[in-house]
This record gives sequence, C-alpha cells and structure tokens, in this order.
Amino acid sequence: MSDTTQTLLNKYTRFLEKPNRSWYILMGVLGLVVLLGLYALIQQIVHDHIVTGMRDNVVWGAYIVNFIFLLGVSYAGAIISGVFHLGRIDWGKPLIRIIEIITFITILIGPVYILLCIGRLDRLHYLFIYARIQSPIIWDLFAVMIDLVLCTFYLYLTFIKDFSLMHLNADKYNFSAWQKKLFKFLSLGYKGTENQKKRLNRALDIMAAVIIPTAVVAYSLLAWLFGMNLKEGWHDSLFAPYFIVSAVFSGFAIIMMLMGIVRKYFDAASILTDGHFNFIAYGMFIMALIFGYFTFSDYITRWYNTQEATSELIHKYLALDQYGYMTLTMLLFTSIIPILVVAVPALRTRTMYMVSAFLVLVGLWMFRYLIIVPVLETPYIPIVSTDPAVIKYTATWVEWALVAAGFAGAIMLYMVILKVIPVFPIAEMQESHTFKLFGKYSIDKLLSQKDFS
Amino acid sequence: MKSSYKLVLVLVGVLLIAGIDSFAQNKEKARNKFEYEKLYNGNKKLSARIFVKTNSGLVGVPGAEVSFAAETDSAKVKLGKVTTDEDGWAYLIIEKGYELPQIDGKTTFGLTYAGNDSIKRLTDDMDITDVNLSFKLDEEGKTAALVVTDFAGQPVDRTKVKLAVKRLYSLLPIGDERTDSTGMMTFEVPEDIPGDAEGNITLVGIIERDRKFGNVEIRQDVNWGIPNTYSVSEEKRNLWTQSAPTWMQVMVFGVFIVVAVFFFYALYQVVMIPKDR
Repeated sequence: MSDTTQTLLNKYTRFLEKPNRSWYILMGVLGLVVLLGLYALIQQIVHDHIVTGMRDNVVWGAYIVNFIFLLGVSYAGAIISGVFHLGRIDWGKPLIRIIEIITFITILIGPVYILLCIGRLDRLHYLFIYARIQSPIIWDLFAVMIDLVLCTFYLYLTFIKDFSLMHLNADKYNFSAWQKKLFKFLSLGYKGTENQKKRLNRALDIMAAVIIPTAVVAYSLLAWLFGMNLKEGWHDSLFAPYFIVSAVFSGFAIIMMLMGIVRKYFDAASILTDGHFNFIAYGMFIMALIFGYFTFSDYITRWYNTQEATSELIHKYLALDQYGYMTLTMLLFTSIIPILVVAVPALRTRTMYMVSAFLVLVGLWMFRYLIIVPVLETPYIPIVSTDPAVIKYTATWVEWALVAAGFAGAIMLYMVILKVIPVFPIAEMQESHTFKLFGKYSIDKLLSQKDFS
Repeated sequence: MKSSYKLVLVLVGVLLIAGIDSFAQNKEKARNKFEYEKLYNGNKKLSARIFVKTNSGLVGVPGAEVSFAAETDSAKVKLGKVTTDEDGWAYLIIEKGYELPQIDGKTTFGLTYAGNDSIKRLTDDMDITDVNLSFKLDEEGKTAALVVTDFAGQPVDRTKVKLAVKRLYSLLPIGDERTDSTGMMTFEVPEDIPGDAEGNITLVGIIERDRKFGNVEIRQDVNWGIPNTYSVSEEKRNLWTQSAPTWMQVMVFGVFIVVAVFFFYALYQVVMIPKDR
C-alpha cells in the first residue's frame, strides 16, 4: 500500500470510528423531524387524504413534486457518476462516492411519496396483477424498481475495494467488532489480485454503462407519464429532454452542496480543491443556460396557443396574484443566479457557489410544483364548485411535515452510510494516475500534516 | 365660555358623523348581460351574467342569486331563481309548451339581483317578440328558404337570417341575408358538403342577436350531402385492447432482457471474486 493510500486511510477511517457529540445532536434533531413526519403519516392514515390539500381535481401535490425532485437527483447522480467512471475522469474520482450515495438514498426515499398519494394502498398489488404495459404508470413502476436494483448493486461494487482495504488494515484502527465483521463479509475476499481486479473493474464498467441509459430512460418514462396525458400543460413532446436537463442540473447542484459540506466536515480541502468547485460551477452554468433555453422555448410555444385552457394556464403562470411570483423566483434561482455567479469574477467563491446551488435546488423543486399543481387546477371541463379548497390546491402541514421528514431521513441515512464507508473512494483514488499528478501538491501537503502521517 | 362649549359640541358632532360616514362601505355597481334564445328543440333559454368592473377588468360574480320573471302590462309570472356559476353566469331553461304571458307575441323578461354587502342591487328587463322560424325546402333545386312569421302567422320582413350546416364542432356558414316582404329568404346549399355515411347533413337556420326577437335557431336534417365513411385513425392506435401492440411488447421486453443480461453478467463477475484469491 502506498503512502498516499495509507495517509488517506488514516485520515478518513477515523470518521468511521465512534461518532462524536455533534453527530448525535444532528441525528437527534433530524430524528425529531422524522418523528413529526410519522405523526403526520398517522394522521393521514387515520383521517385519510382529507388532511392533505389534495382533492378531486388536484389529485397530486407536494408528495408527487418531492417524488419527481428526488428521482431527478437520483437519476442525475447515476448519469454523472457513470460518466465520471466510464470517462476515466480522474479529477472526478473523489466525487464519485458522494454522488453515488445520494443516488442510492434518493431512489430509496423518492418512491415512498408515491405510496403517500395512493388512496387505496390495499390494492397496490393490483399494479402487478393487472399490469398493462400500455400504461406509462407501469413503465415508471418497473423503471423505478429496476433502477433501485441497479443503483444499489453499483453502489456496492464501488465499495468493495475500500471494504477490502479496511478489512486488511482493520487492526490499525479502532473499528468495533461488528464493523470488522461487516468489512470482512462485504469485501468478498477481495485482495487486489490481477484476476479480481479485472473482474471487479469489468463489473463496474458494465454497470456504469448500464445505469446511464437506464437513468435516461427511467426519467424519460416519468416525463412521459405526464406527456402521454392529453392535459394542457403536460401533453408536450419537450417533456422528456426537459426532465433530463432539470435532473442533471439538480445533480450538479446537489454535488456542489455536498462537496461544500464534505470539504468542511471531513477537513478535505486538499482533496476537494477550488478546481472541483469551479468545474461543478461551470457545469451548473451550462445546465442553467440549457434549462433556461428549454423553459423559454416551452413558454413561448405555448404562448402562441390561443386555446382557452392554454391561455388560462399561461395566465396562471404569469399573473402575480396566482403563480407569477413562483414562476419568476424559479427563473431567478435556476436561470439567472447560477449564470451570474460564474459570469461575475467577484462572485466566484465557494460560498456563492453553494448558495447558488441551494437556490437551484429550491428553484427546481418549484419547477416541478409549477408542472403539477397549476395544470391540475386547469382542467378542460371547468371545476363545478365554489369551494376554494377544491378549486385551488394548498399543501397542508401534514404534507409539509412528510416532505421535511423525507429530507431529514435522507440526511440521516447519508450520515449512517458515512459511518460504514469512507467518504472518498480511497482505493480508486490510489489507482488514479492523474490524481497522483493532479493532486500531487495536495497529497504532499496532506502527507506533511503530522496528525495523519 | 358657553358659546365655545357649544362650538366644541358641534365640532365633535360633525367629526362623529364624518367618522361614521367614512367607515360606511361604498358598494360596487353591479352590471349585467341579459340574453334570450329560442332553441331548436322549442325550449327557451334566458342567460344572465352578473359582473362588476375592477382594476383588472370585468369580473363575474359567482354564487349570486338571480330571479327571472316574465310579464306583460296585465300579468306577471315569476319564472325562477338561479345561482350564478364561477364566471357569474345564470341560465334558465323554459320548456317547450310553457305558456308565457304575452300581448301580440310580446313578453317582457325581467331579472333581479338583490345584491350583497359589497355589491348594489340590480334589475334589468328586455322585450322579446316571439317569432316562428321555419324551413321551406326544395329537394330538387337543393335550396333552403328560411321563413319568419309572427304570432299570427303573418310574414316578418327585413329580419336578418342566417343559414349554416352543422359540423362536428362548429357551424359551416352558407349565407346570411334579410327576409323579403314575404318573410322569406332562399339560400342555395352547395352540393359538395360531406355528410354522414348516408349523405345526411343538418341545416341550421338562425336569427342572431336581433334586438326585437333575440336569438332563434331551428334545425333540419336533409339528405343533400356526399356520403362519407370516416375512418377514425385513433382506433388503429388504441391502447385499451387486451394486449399491447407488438412493437411495444418487443421494446419493453427487449429493454428488460438487455438490462438483465448485463446485470447478471456483472453479478457473475462479482460472485467469482472470492474464488479468484
């Protein structure tokens, strides 16, 4: 094992040891949010969907918005990590694990929101018994399940080398007995022999090559779930690429956020350099341009459609007493701020990048909200009711609590996974030739820090 | 001292009255649109829209109760109360055969909206003279004459009538002209209008927004069109059949198989790792 590997191991395995106090405090706070979500869930089970803002016309709300948002992050993670791996992009190696973990967690939590939307969960198995492959809902169901299996498997494949490293060096660190057993079991006896390397790399290449098109197809299918509807605002040939672009955009934003947190919490300034932040910011810049172009193209095309339902929908998007402020905020967060942050040299700081990334994520959540709610509030057959709750959707505390619980649960799961596996793929980074050159200065600097050498 | 005391009292009184007045709410003026239609099935329809003028334009008043009545100089009948829809419209159908009060065919229809806390009361009326619109067809010459007669069967001249052919979603206009002294106007119907499988088309005669007669419509089926069999292209692409189209089955199962092959091959590689020590 090289000095570099040993240094990285020394430094990052200490985060796998007994959690510190702040870890427990954060878990406690997040746990309270999850408990609030569970209380909201009980309310929904006992009183049924009347405790939500969903009614006869607006049958989808915050839950489905969160589902699409989380799946977007997941598919983007799969695409970006697959491209990093297959493209042998060495500077991206420290990012691969950060991305893959979020890919796995979001595909795990996202589909739960679909279950929250369903009124008759006792008939859930009908989806399989009476499945009709003509239905886009069935396409999406299978796509999500297949993607969950593939992402979980791919995530595990990327862990094997590090499990092996930790298993072989277990005696040097304060791992608990269960951790040692787990590392041994999950390393599959991998010792880095030529044959083992070949097999694992082959499996990794295959899975990386499979998850990219699978993620593209799966998110396209989700877009078609809306696109195949004849509803005004959904029946749009642009939807699949529009969804993919928004997903990749959210992927870059979440990587930026996670990079900032990992760099600070894991003291990883020598690994996640300013170069990484700049590259991802450029990625966000390009995605903001493409997303802005798609958004403009979509709106301007619809603007020329004078059908009553289209006019009404466009009016809702732009009228300030309806969704105008949300539309403008979405455009500001997704298409203006990420461009300004890169275009203006004075704004090119890590803090600004992270603020911009956070706003992009908020903007993309709003983007999904604008796709779902105003469209459902504008049916072809007018809503025959004067009840404001039926005409206009407003998410209730139950929905917000469950949305918040999903995010809190995702962060908790992320923290737990990082207690099992180092945040960086140490073995992969060791094999990276470019990393040795590209990061030589950083590694040298790392080696000079006595605490870890 | 006494006079200044009185002055203070007067001032307080004036301020009090002005204060109360300034708190009084100014009610919005209600506006309305009132229309009459004699439908092709013989029913009559009264439509009224109650709306107010706001900064953003004219806005319908939903949930407003509108009372309709029909009257002459000697009789008055309350026709009914209707609540406006979300756009402020209220509709009342008077079924065929219902005897409306009338003198020489003329009836005055009235509407009343009582108003509410923020909108003023509103009343309106319109005089409508009942007329009969009928077809006189010439099967050989393929011409359709529209005849307008009054309550006594006398011809009504100088009334603008319109002939159209009913299409799936709209009316195809053939012509519009005023009736002559015999109360009639004749239109030539083109011979190349596509009809149903047997060549039937529906002629529609209309008096539109006449100040005296309102809207009147009649319909008549004639066999003057070109027989047409419509093939509905959607039928060929329908997805409500028991099984999906072959191309879709091939695609879906093809994708599953390809993904499965790669997945199991990768899984095999991983399973073999412990054996390669």
